[in-house]
Amino acid sequence: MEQPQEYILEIEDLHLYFEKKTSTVKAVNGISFRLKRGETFGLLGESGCGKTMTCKTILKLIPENGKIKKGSIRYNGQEILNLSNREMRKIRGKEIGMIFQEPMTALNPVLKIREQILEQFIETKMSKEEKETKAIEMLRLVGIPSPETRLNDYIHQYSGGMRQRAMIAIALAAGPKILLADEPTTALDVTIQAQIIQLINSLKETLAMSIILITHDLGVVSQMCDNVAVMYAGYVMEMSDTLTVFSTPRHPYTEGLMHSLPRDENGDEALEPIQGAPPDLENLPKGCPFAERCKYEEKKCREEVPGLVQIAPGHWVRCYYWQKLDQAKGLIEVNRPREGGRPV
Amino acid sequence: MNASCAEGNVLLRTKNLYKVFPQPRTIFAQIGRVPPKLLKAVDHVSLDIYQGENLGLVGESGCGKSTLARTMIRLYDCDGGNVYFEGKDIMALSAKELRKERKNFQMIFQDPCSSLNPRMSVMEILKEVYLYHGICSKAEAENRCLELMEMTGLNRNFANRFPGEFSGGQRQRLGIARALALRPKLVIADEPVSALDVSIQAQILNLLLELQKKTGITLLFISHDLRVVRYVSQRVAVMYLGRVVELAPTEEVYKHSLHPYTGILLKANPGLDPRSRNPQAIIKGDPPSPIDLPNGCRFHPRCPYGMPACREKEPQLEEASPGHYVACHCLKR
Repeated sequence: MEQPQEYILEIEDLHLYFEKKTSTVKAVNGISFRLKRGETFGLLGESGCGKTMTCKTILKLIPENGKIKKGSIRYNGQEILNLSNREMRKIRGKEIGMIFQEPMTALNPVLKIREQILEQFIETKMSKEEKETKAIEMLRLVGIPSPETRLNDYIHQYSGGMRQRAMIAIALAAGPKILLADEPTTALDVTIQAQIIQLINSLKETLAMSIILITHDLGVVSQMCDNVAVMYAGYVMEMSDTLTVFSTPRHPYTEGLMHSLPRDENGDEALEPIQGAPPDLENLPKGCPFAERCKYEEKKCREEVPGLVQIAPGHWVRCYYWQKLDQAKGLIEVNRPREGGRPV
Repeated sequence: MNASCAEGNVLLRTKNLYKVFPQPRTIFAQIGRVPPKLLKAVDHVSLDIYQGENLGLVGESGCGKSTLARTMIRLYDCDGGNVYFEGKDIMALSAKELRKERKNFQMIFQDPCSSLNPRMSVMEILKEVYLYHGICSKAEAENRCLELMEMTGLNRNFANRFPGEFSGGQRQRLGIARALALRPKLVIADEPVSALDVSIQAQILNLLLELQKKTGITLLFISHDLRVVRYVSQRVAVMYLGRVVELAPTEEVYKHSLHPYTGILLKANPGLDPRSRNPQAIIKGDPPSPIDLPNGCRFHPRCPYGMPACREKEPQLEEASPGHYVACHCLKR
């Protein structure tokens, strides 16, 4: 039996399809991962790979035509997917909070920040004064200067970085145990991005949270995540701790991503982009979804989707021919013996 | 890539280029004839772009990099200063002359989705360029369009498709094809890859570099992504609130940056090694509003090395070492 204490969230074989009039969009095709207490887990992938939908499913915030075909999501050992809407409401915000990429569209422009924070306390039994103090405390925690006055501002009166801070304050107000962060820094400038990364990292420590971070930015993953799952067309392609993925990628897609990124050093080294474009989710190929862009592709890849196999402790790869990538270099070099004494 | 091309001929020179946007006034301010507040988007920028080089322009959003580029090719009329393209004063041209001259400088936009007409097919979009400038006959134009599509990696069979049917990467290829149709001497690429996924981004960057090698165009590459700029550019200009604060060969900027702002930008870029995480916030605060600029050096409120002089006098862009220009008082200490 699994210790329920170790993993706060367990997702197993999640399938999410969108029914359209004439076709089915297969957005999520069997995602499984587990979130440890106190860790930051990254979902890395390009647009349309299903990372946001996976997170929204955790809160059951999926659009009406979205159908969960299969799978289970357990929070603290309790199945979430069969909860009613009323029971979900107790989990949203209080147990699992979410921040979005674009504060201007995610927050209400006609409500003051004060009201949007106080909204989080509806389910709690605090006096009015306590709520007020807590709201000010939250704004101070995320580093907004003179929170007493800024509480009465509207979101458009804040600057870009402060908007993101305000959204974090709102998401954290009810004290969630898990924070889902959907591209929290993508819309920000690098200097502000660095501030927000540092803020989230330090809040995780002080509030003892676990975080699921959705991003397409390898730099953000490396700065924030303990473990990471690389997603493609609704599948997890590779999953491991961040250092392993960055130093010894074993999936052709991960390798391709890393070779698509200009290095900090040796700027002259030519980029090796992945050819082609991601597949249409309405029309996924029969075999591996990455096969047509893959340079290691063989006949078998076109026939059946490979399973996610563990190739080393904690290192999972969805590829028949991962051994061909034995010499593949990641973004960083690590000299570290793995079992068998073979340097990686 | 070396810095030697920096000594080539100047293709485009801006001299004290100045562009302001008057801010909207309240009705009372209008009646009371209160002068409007000015947003100084480009504040006396002097910059040379050399023949055949690839100049990177970096800075945070709102620092005026796009406005500078657009004013350079007179998509905006400037409020002062001059722009010389091959010695010709662009700002003095009549509308007719400007239209002729436009063949020589073209632009690639960030969002291929909103810069392509959704109701025109690929062929129509590309053909329009030739017909508008009266370059060749319709039949000839069609041939040239197909060639262009091939050159930018678009399948010839796509000619009758519409932009909406393409992915982001393909649309950007179309944007590039359109910019290169007239064989311009200067191409301004305004955040050409910012809206694209990493794997597609690399395809487009390689395409741009390959085409530059093939056609010998000069490229002004605007981006906020420092990694991308390092990869494509030979020289880099760093902008802060409407001014160029540092200008140098790329590796100089990345290895021996002199302006404190450049250093901060570089450090803020998230590193790729999970073992070295930077625990301190690198810079406090947000950029000040370009409407109420601080006195003296516009960076001093955020600068870690601020001196009394910084609050009083605005530093000018000066040559610190050959080819390396910086606007900072702290260097003279």
